[in-house]
Amino acid sequence: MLCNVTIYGSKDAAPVFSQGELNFDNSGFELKYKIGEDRCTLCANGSTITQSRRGGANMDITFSKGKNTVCVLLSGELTGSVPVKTDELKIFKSHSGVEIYIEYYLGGAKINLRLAATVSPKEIK
Amino acid sequence: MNICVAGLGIIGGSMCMALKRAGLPVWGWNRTKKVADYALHNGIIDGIARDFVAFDVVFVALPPEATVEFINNHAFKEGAIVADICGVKVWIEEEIYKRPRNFRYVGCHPMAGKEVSTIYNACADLFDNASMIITYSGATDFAAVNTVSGLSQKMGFARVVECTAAAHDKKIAYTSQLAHIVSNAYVKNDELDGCLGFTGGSFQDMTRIAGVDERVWSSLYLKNSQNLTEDISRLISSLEQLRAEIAKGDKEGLEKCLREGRKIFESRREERTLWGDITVTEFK
Repeated sequence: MLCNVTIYGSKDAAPVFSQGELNFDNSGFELKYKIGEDRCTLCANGSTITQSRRGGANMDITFSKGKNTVCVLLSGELTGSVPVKTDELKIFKSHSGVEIYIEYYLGGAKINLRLAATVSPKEIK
Repeated sequence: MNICVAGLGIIGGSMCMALKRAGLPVWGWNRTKKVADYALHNGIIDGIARDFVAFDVVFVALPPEATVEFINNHAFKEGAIVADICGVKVWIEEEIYKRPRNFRYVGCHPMAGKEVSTIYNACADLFDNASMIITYSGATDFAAVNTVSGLSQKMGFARVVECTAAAHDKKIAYTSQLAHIVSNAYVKNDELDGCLGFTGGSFQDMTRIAGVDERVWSSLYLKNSQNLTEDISRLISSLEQLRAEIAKGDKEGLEKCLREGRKIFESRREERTLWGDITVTEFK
């Protein structure tokens, strides 16, 4: 299903708007979208979310509430894994799309991420 | 400055902790992923390195053979400092300089450790007030030595001792390797069992390092065999002399023998340089 994707990062930054494709399956959903020229995939499986980005920036990151996971940096100055600690992870699913809220630490930096994928009205049956 | 420690055992892990204590970000790498994950999720390192081309300084905290294999099989940034921490220096230096390289090699040997191993025993203050030995040769870049020396100070070392690899190996055969050999030999005695209540500081001093990892130490002994066998021979000679005096029941001869040892010990001058050029820089 085609959808509109809105990503809210830090308070000071403007939200990022994109278009994507959202597909549900038995265990969760997969959302494909673009940030600039980079291709992003976000998969929700149960209470775990994995996000990958390919293009100018390349990384794989896993979120699981209360757990220590990693962000694998595949390009950039330093490549490797940095720690991720997810304090909050909420997934809301509805007939009109999905919304996720993640509060996490990447390295020492705290990040609040909210992403909403709203299915185009013509796709809703 | 991007710093990476390759090999997250007790020494490598403690280096990471000491560098982070000094406020420096440090990445790590380990052959066993579980150990690297432990370091990452316990704040010992800031990241797990996938490769080493972005690092300005790479400390290689692995056993001798693994150190050479690691350095020969990875790419480093042009001009990066690659420093090993092995307990033997001539062998490592020869192996490193056999190949062309784009990095600046610095030989190091932190004079600190514990009788236990693994990152789970690492601590931020392991190097506090200890010595860091840095070895040099004609191929050494002294700006790189200064950088490693500065980082050593940040890690808590009280002093840096600079000398040639040969001077290091000769001295370390006596101050470290022979002591470990003696401890290992000392515990090979049936009386070791049932010692509870019969031991004091002297027994504890003698046996503390008997349990070190034989894979690591055999490698170090064999790579410094000439110096070490000479020292063992001197020790055997001294022991035989003492045994002979005791067996003879010759009190005067025994006293003379013991007095010799005491006088040598009392007249020692730790700062004396007998062999090669040794420079000591005190930080505190």
